[in-house]
Amino acid sequence: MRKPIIMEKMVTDQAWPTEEIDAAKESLYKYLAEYLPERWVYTKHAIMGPVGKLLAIIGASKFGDNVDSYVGYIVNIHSQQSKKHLTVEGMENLKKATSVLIRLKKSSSERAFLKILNSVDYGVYYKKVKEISEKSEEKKEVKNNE
Amino acid sequence: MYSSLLDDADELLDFLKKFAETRRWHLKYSKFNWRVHQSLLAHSLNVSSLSYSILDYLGELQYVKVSDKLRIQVLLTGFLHDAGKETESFQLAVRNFLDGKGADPLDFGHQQSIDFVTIIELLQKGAEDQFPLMKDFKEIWKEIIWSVSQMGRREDAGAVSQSFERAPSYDALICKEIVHLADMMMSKLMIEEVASIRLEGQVISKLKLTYSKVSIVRGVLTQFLHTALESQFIDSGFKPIQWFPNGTVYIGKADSKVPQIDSDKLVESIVKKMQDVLDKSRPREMAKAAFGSLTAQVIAAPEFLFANNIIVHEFWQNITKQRFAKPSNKKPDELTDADKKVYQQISDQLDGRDESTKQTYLARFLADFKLLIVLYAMQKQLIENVRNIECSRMIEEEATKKIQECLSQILEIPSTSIATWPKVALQTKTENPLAIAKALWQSPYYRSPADWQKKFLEALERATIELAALWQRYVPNKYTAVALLLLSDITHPLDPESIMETVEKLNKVITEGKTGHGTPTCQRCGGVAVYEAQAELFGKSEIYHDNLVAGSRVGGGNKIQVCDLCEFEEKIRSVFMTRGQEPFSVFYIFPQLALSRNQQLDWQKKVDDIKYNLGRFPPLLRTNRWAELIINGDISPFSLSLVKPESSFSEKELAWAIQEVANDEGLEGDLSSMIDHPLEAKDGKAVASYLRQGKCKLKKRFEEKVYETINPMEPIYLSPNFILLLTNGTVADRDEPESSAAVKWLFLRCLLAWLFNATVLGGDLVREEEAMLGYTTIPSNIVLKPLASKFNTKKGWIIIPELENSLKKLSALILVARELLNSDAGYGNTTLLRLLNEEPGRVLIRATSRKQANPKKILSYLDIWEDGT
Repeated sequence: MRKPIIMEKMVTDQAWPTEEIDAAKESLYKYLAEYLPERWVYTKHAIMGPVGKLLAIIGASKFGDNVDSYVGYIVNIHSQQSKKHLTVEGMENLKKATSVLIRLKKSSSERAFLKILNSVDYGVYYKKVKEISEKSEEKKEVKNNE
Repeated sequence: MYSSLLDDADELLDFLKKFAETRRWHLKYSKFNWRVHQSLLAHSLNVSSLSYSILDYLGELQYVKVSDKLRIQVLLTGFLHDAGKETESFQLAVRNFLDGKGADPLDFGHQQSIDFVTIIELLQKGAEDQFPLMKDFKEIWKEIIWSVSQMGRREDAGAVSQSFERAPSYDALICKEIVHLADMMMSKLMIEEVASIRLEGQVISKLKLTYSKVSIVRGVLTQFLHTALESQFIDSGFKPIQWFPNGTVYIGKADSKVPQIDSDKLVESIVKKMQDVLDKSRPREMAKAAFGSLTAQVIAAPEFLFANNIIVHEFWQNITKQRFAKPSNKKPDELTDADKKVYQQISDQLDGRDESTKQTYLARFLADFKLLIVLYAMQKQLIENVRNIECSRMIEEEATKKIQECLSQILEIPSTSIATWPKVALQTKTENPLAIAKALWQSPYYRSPADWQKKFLEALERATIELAALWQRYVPNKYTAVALLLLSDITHPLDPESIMETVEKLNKVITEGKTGHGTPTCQRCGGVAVYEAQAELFGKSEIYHDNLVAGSRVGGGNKIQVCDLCEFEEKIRSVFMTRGQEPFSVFYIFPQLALSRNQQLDWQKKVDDIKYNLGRFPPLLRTNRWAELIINGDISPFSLSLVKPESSFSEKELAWAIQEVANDEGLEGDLSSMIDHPLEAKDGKAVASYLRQGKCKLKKRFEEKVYETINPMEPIYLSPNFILLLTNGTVADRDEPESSAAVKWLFLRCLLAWLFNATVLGGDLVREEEAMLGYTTIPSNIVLKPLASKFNTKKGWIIIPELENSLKKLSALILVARELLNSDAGYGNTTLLRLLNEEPGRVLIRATSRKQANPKKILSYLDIWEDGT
């Protein structure tokens, strides 16, 4: 007889970790304040900068559960692409978000974690776009006042 | 000074409402228990108004000398008596208690003067600014503070007054007593609890409270019943002062006797009310509601049709406007198989005539035949409704004879030709109609289509009047039968004899044992089912109705079984719709706990404002526009007036409505009679354009109809207990699934709750045991689960503090969907449903991928959807 295929080992009826997701979003958003690309482009890929990469490698478990490796990888990308150097505070934010995500990865099913990553991804993007929009409004107002 | 203020009582009440609104009283708890919650605003306004009514009554009886100062003092004391409950600490305590985390907040805790003095001072300042004469009467406010802080306490009032350094005034004592009674009355869960309050006090002990109550709220019929009961109590010297959805509280002298229900008088009163509201006021709607459909039950409500001759006339006017009643020339290859057979027979008869004449004869005959189907369907209904089977044969013959006589006399056709007609119905065999055609051709009027149309209509109308006379003679009056059945809904006051009768009946059933047949029960109210409901009455399709066993298809015996009352309730609702069709959706607007006189008048005003909306704000069902108003803060729930008034109806909308009314009135092609200036107007578009340019105005009669057409809803408020709101259309877009439309219906319910400061429920009927734990319920559809967490619902209810937040979030959601759809970035018909679960960032990226989208707008809406700010 063919062995049954086990699709999912975790309990699927999990509570949605809203607070942790919000914490990860907030940390990554704060980190992005230190990321200044050479040239501003307004695609999602560009707006998300190294954060997009971080979420992708966590999703693919590139470094297992090793938080420092993920942070190191992103710091390297940051130094190559950003005009501004990463501060200790920025690195702390990156570390904090990565730890939260790794913790969530351990406690959630694979399917649920993909949804969580998606939520963090678009959540950070939303915050960033909102910030850009507010800044552009401010600029416009200043221009109008002049 | 006071009398001038009392003359402007509306202004004073508006001022109080605005004061409460700025302090968010509509989002704060006042009364709360396991079954009903009441907002601080609803409670304060109701207690204030009820106190005023009690004082008024005491004044009428000359138990109290009522001065204008006392009236205003009672009004204000009532309004402010629970002001201390607005503190954050009290509200938090209530929320904790309702969440099961804390103890029940003490009922006297909020009466510490420290909690409410500041509020009273603020109100005083505002009142004195708006009504400068108030400045001379500062003692009112001090007395209010005394009355509120002492309310419900049993200490010697004189001793307590020491702390206020003066003896309480007579007015303050009276206010304390009356407002305390009103507060107790407005806090009771059930109507019988109100009536059993012990009336102890200097003046209130001279009064008596009693009540009338029904077991079930059916809708329009219950409103008729409430009104009839009320009039019996009024005749016995009682005065109605407080209204629950299922009953009314009356006040009277302590020694007055509670009236026993006089069944005959009550039935008479209900029937009279029905005749006034239905037969006399709405003949056109009755006529429209009487017609079902040519392919199903042709005469859906014969009791409406045969009510009087005006309705009969309106009925035929309506029928002749139907498409089937107008001859339409078709080429032989466009005809249906059945019509082809008829055409063949007609062709044979008209041998030698040209093709076009034959086609005209066929078209005219088909239209006439359908009108005859309608006439004979009336006869069928008449026979079916005669209860006495022995008589029915005789009545059938008499009815046939009357029809034949009318047709023969008016159309000048030999009666022998009509006597040979086969049975006229849609199923008449295709070979048979020729006999009918040949008979009609014998009429001298047939040659001129215009003369024929006039004469034929006259004959049909006369025949119907004859049938109506038979109906009135042989069929028991439906209104009386319904009124008699309605009496069994009354649970108080009960006639002792009727209680004994019921007991005897039950005893008989028990002693004789079961009959073995069982009784089919009404699937709506649980009464004895006697009807198989027509599909029309319970929505467009009864195939998968909620009341049927899931998965089973409606067949011969598997139909929705309903009782007499439920069937009639559905029919009666359709009479209130402009076009006489069944309402699309039904809402109940219920008071939170109970309603007082002023609130009732306020509801009445709002309902009229919404119904006769001459473009001051959007039609009720246009959720997009309401959502915009809410988001922009352009509307206030208390005055129902726009911050930036402008016509809310577009020219296109107006043109469509004008054309609809013109079609209904038979004015196609020339609409100049609808306007007050002699201008040429071919269609609705032309009239709408003139209106926009200010070149003319619609005549009053047409103006009302046009705006009614744009705003397809009908509020029914026959008794003060509750409002029944029927809508004629839907909020859904074309092909939008029901679950998605449910979000928009929820928005509409929240909007109504916000406007009326009331609980809004959907559904057919409401029983007493139903809980009302906030403003409205959220849909139970599993797809809409995210709504529950988004709106912090409790037990499926949008709770009192969350109403405005929920309304804003829903507005934002609706507007995001609109923006996405407009910029071609939507998710199709299910855009709203997808947005419920979608990450805002993802929505944003979808929107920005289209050039037409306005990301800034979408961003601001998404912000509100996420945070409610």
